[in-house]
Amino acid sequence: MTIRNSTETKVRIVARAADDLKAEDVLVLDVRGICTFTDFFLIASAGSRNQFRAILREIRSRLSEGGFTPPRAEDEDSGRWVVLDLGDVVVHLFDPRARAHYNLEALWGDAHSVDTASFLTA
Amino acid sequence: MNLWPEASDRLVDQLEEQLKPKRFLHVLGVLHTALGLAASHGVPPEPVAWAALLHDMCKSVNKRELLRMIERDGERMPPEDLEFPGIWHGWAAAGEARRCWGIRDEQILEAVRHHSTGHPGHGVLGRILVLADHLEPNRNSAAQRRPILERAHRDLDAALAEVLESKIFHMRAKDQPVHPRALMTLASLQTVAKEA
Repeated sequence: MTIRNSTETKVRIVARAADDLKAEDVLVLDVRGICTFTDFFLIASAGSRNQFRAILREIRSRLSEGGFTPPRAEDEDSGRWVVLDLGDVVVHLFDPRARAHYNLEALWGDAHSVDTASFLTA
Repeated sequence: MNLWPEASDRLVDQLEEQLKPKRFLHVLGVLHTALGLAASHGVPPEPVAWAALLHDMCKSVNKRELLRMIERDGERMPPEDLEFPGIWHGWAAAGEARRCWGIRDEQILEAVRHHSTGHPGHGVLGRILVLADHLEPNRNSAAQRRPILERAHRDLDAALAEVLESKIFHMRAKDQPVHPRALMTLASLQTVAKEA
């Protein structure tokens, strides 16, 4: 898979932050050639509101460390569905119920999911 | 719905009274454009007219009052929408539509609720309303509107994708957060187009 370097780095940073904080079902979808407004979706779930907030905080702080500007802070207390729009990467963090409700995976099926583990290893 | 046309005349009178002249003209423009699109796509005009007339009826209500109305009318606005006050007027208008105008047609109510963002599950009425809201005559010059309006008359989904795309890029350029539902509506339109 050829991805622009900074795009891959962003996916890697976000996937690792989510994984390190025990986000559930971290999924990366490759939507290049389908969507014009982004290249990848990264979808993850958080089991509790505290975990939800912690994951978002971690993603933000690691993006900053990596030299990327995290999107403008929104009120993250909804704890249900927050989207971080990084341009070429769009991150969706859900609580499990909202994730099942919106079922974004169903839009693309398995065809476009990327091996998430490849972003978690060095 | 046999409330037509008397009730709609009353609604037009009420809108003229309550909305600023510019906003009232916008609503009439949306009505005009939406009815044209409905005719092109074989959609019955009455529900389209209701959705068009109702969609901005709460546009000049302040934020606190909007939240109060949404709560009062039992509109179940999802928490992620709390972060986007610019779309609350759609939820409040759907509540008003049920409470004051007896609208029970979920297609109309859904179109009104989601007219600012679109919705991945939108029916044809919802798609017409989002498009008409952008393509009505008061918004832009005829030259600017014509190409996309012509496309909308041929292919609703292609035109809607184009409108949402330009809206999303415009908001990103201004560093404004884009509503997740707008992103997902565009994603679903583009996915369907690709796989068709």
